[in-house]
Amino acid sequence: MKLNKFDIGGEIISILTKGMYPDPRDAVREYIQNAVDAKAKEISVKVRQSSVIVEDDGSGMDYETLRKAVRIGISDKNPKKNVGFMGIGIYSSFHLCDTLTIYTRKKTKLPLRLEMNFKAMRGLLNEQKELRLKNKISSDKLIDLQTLLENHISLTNEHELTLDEFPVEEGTRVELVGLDPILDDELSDFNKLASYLRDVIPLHFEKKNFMWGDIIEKKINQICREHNAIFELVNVKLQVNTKTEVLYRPYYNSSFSENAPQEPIFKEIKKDKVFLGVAWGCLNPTRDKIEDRDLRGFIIKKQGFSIVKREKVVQSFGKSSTHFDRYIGEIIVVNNEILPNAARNDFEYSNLRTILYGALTEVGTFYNQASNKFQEENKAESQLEESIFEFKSMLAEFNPNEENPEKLIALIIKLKEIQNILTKKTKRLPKDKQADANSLKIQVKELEKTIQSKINVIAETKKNKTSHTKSQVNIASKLKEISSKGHSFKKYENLVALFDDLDFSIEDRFKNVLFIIDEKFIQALSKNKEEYYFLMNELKHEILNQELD
Amino acid sequence: MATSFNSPSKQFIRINWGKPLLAFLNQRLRKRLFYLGLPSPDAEDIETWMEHLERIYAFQCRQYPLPSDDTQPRDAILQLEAKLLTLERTRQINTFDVFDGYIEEVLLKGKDNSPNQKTYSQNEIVTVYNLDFCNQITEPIKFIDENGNEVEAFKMEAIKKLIEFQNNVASNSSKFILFLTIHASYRGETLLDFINDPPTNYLSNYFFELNKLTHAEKKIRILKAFVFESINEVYRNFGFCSEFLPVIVYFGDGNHKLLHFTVIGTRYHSKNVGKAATFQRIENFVSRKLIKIESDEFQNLDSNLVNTIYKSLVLI
Repeated sequence: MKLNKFDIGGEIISILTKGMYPDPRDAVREYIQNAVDAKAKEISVKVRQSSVIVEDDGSGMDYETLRKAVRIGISDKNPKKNVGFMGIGIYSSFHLCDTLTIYTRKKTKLPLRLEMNFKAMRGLLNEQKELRLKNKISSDKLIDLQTLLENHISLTNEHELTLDEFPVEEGTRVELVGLDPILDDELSDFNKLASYLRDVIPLHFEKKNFMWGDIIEKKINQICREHNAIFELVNVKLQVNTKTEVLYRPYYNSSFSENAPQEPIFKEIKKDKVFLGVAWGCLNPTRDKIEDRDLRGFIIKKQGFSIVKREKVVQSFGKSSTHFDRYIGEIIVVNNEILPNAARNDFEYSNLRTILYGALTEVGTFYNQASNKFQEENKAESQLEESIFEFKSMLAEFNPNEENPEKLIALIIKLKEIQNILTKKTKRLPKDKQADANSLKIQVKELEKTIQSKINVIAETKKNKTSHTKSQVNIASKLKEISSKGHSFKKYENLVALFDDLDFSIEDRFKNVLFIIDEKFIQALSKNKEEYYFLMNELKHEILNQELD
Repeated sequence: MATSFNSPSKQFIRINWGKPLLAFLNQRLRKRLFYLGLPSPDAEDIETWMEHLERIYAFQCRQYPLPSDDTQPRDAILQLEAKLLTLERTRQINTFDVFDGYIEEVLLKGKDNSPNQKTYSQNEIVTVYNLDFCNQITEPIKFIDENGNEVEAFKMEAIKKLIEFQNNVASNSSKFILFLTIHASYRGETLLDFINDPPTNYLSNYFFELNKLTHAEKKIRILKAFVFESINEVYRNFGFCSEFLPVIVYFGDGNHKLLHFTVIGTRYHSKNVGKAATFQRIENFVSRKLIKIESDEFQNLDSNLVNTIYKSLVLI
């Protein structure tokens, strides 16, 4: 079967671009990506009343390249090296503006100009569409794609323009003029456009307001170089009306608690000697989640594109997002064989894609472990600090002549709590803090001994005089009994706290039931707070014994 | 079709008066200038001065002199934007912004009439203002504010707002120039009060002496004093000293008589610490001769009679 140019209608360009570039910002992205592919270092984007300008200092285009740029679905670009390779990006503003004009210059050559009159093209297509709906035109008379483009695209000859028309050393300037005001909303809001571009352009890290920005950039570069991979970034200066800013990746010190991100942790992503990319992540300095939900966790980037969103990446971090939410980081895929799909929201299906997703589980485990270690250390440090404070308070309050056994027993209970905490947490502390914990343990033990002797003396003395103090002695002996069993004694304020300590996961509605049981039965059985604590501890031992059985 | 008020005299002033001053300021500040003005869609003033300009803020209404309306075509704005895009591409200027609307309404509303209601903001000192309030507009512009009320905006209020913005910019640059063109039949908000109740005895006597002149001759001299008083006050209130250069009287497009003022502003002290001092007295300014354009040169306008009036006032 033989086809001719009349078999492809002009309408195809409208259909394709409407489907591929639904957001007006997609067009800006396309022209920026062309600049990235042209090895630009500086790119400026200016949005005015009715125009968008994208200008770069890249290598520019010669006549042949510019001529080829108008082709549809045919591209000389290499998918492994270039971001844009589908050969339609130049038409991405088809529905956005009246005219697209490209000025470009290659070093030592004169500038060239390519003009596309989208308004006239759309007008003609709409006119024909109307006629067709009214059956006033046969399909044979509809304009074909080639004629439509030929009639509305012009390209200057190599010597037609003077250098004054575009007096740059080299580079390209794309002018979108006559913006449709209805589509203009997304473009004329600086924050909306900036936020979009940060997500799709390989921007530099902020160095002034993100203390690790420089180090992260250098380290990723170094790792990529070691594996002969390319990690290129560009400067984009965005001007929307009166506001102008250089755009950076959206990470700042202030994105973290106390404005103090932890030192970045890097992880090379490799599988069987195949280098896939590199991940970096900074933990929050406190045990809290990152406050800004949009920045929490890791995002997967390829050539600047945020290909896989955080919601999906979290699946590689296990069932819960406990650790994921405490990081800000990126997984940067640099392997040339892994290509983004057309919608730029995932990778094209391939064996390497499967391998990459497999490797991400390892990445998740690696970062989970690092976060878990920090959480444990940090928690242990806090508890150590609390214990030191509590012990110092006790020392300050302790009266060596105290004769009230209840008070002395209360002190013993507190000391045992501190000892339990220290026993449990010391090994989780960083090494420099372990010595502090051990020293505290010795001091606590000494004080406990002193108080215990004091209790024994009081008990012996009162035994002969009256049986009135029996209950305290009983408590003291119970206390000894408990501690001698090796169980930890804790002051549980309620049943939920006890179950939490035992790591039972309890649904909220069941928690309410526990509160009722606590109030109606356990508290009712206890004469005072001390007895309540004993009952709770006995209950705990019963549960633990059951579990052991 | 967009309106242009270009005239040979206007162009003569741009080339022979404005341009040397801008060259001086450019050299003095050691940087190209930040222009704010009301160019026509062909941007003739910008084109004349572009070698000294770097950044442009341009205000353009849609259908002069009608009050702004969303339904009016945006052709004039798009034409101006296209012109400035060309200047930017050819590296004549560095960057620009166009505001949709009359300057007074945009500044008082804080946003323009474009579909996305662009807000006015300024991060650096504007170093050259070219406010060409010429031709038929002698009355305030009416516009609808955010609450749906009809509001009147006067030209002087626009200048006050501009200098207020200027004051709010933290900058070491302290010098700027204002070119102000007003119609000889200008009726500012407080002009009538100014005439009926002059702020000083000197001005009372001056206005009395001016009765010896024709009404038209008297009007331009009262306007000269009024503009000095109004602008000097605005500058002082925002911490700037003003220095007025001689006033040029010329005939613009449609043979309208226009007054062209040149005011050099200098930051007197850091912002928000009270009024600036005045170094130029109104007596000296009003008695300074007016300039006219004739045979492609600047000439003294004042007649012997006017000179006599000036001399008699010196004795008061």
